[in-house]
Amino acid sequence: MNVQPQATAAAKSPRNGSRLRTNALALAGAFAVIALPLLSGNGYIIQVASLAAIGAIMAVSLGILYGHSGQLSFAHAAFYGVGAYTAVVLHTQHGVNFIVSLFAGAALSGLVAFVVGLPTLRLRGNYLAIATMALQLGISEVFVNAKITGGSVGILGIVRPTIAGFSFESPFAYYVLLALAAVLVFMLAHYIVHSRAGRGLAAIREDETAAGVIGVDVIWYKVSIFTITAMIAGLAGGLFAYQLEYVSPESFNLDWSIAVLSMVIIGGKRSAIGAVVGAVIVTIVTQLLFSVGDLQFLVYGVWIIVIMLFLPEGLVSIWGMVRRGATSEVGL
Amino acid sequence: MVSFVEVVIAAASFGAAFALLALSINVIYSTSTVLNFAQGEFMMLGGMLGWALYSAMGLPYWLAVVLIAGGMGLVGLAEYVLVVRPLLLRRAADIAIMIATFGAAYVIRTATALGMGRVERPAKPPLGQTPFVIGGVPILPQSFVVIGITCAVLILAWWLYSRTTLGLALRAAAFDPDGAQLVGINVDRLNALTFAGGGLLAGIAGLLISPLSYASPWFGITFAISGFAAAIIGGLGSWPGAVVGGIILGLANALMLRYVSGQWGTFATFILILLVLYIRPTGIFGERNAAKFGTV
Repeated sequence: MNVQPQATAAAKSPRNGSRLRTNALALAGAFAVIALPLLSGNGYIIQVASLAAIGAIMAVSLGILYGHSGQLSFAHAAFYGVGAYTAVVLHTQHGVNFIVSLFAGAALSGLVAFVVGLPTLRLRGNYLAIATMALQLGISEVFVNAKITGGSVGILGIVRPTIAGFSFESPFAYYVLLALAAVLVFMLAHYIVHSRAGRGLAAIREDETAAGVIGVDVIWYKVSIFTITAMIAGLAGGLFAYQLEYVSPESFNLDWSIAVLSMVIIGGKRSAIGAVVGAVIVTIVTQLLFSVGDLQFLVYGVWIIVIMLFLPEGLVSIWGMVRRGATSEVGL
Repeated sequence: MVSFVEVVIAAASFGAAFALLALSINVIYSTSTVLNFAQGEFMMLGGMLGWALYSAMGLPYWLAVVLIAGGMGLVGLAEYVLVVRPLLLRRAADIAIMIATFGAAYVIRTATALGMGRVERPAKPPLGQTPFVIGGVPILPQSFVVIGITCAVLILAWWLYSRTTLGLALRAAAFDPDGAQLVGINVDRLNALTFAGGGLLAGIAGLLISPLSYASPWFGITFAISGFAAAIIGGLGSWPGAVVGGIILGLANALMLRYVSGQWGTFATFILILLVLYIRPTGIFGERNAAKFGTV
């Protein structure tokens, strides 16, 4: 739009029309993809689809933090865990309203991120990566050792909620809730990335010093996006706790942070749709790996190495290759 | 007072082992700028092999040391050839290499657990368990072994880096890889060599530390965060930094263990990282050059 500022309304409208059509098509496509697992009527497929939806929320939010804003964090699973434990303690153990508990979990995750983010985000590059890894392992230690989290045993006896008189106890109904949350987070990500703040964050990613010079409040932007993405992770954690109906520290450790990072990289770092696709692929592969028993983590390690070897720039690079191939055939 | 001296000696022993690990991280990082997250697993594997060869099979200690040094060198080389080199050749982003080294870590951890059992193993110290009493302070003989061998390795490494042609090539490649390539230094071969060296050093660190706790296939990640914390506290790529970072971390660990509890070690490590890097964002001996932050 900025390229042709003097374009008339008449010239604009067909383009707007085509964009509307694209949006409508995308919406219909998304709706079909979300509805597909429901139509299967299969409990296992719903379970995998639910975990994929949660993975997608995590990958989209880490995609904003790392892919879009350039702040590498290995602590995303820690914030996910804070959200999960908070929601369970409030709703299941103290009978607080489910939605309120969910958002309280997100808020506490955000608070933790804000407090540790101020000193941590002064660091850059490899130093930030290692510091957030220590943060992740430190918070994992809290989950294992604290009383309120049930220690290494965790918390059992979680029952899916009833919201406004409608019971989400069935995994099918709960899946609809998860899919709805994933769509909302996806839209929020789109809004953040394309906002004025989103452009500031992109400037920080490209060159922190230069961004500061042109007037971006670097530390405030970095801490804000760290807090916001941690809140989204906390929300995903709360939703996850009620999907699995059981929480334990193993669900919130460094391995999960690495898995979410691999989703983001497979998706091509900066693409929200890519992150969703990455989440679906990684979730399916991880679930399939349960069948190899003891060898699970060995095969998982090999899978991570192989996917990095063949797709270091993510699936988006394949899409790019296909598009280039197609256009050169047409002769454009 | 006596208990304080004990804490200091424990700190020096753990600090020496962490310094070795941080050194092994820096050896690899300074030539290839790869953060190899499998190095905690190298250290774990060194400890497990030490238990298997010396405690369980009863080989002489010197033979165990030689076998572990050679074997872990080969493990490091294998990781370079199979995982890191193909990614470097593709000029893959640092993050892709990082995640791939985590893949290597999973493979080593799972293979060790499957091959040698999933339990903690008591590793036998080579000089026995009877503490020497010096000035009323009981000191475990293993403390002398750890500190002594670490000092020997540091002197050897310093000699190699500062007094040999190979060391000159390594320093040239660390300073400017493309320039080194241009004057006829085979950087690929040097990278292979540093991965072998990194495996060797981390393996020895694991062998040395295992009699002070246990050997277990699950210790790799704890070792990794201690080694990487020591490396960034000292300054990534800096040799004196590795030693100082290792000692600071060892001291913090020993104080936590003695006066607070063993349950919050990693949380304390995180706080320590923040405290030191708040004052110096690139570590105590790190260069204050933005390019040295790494480009993830």
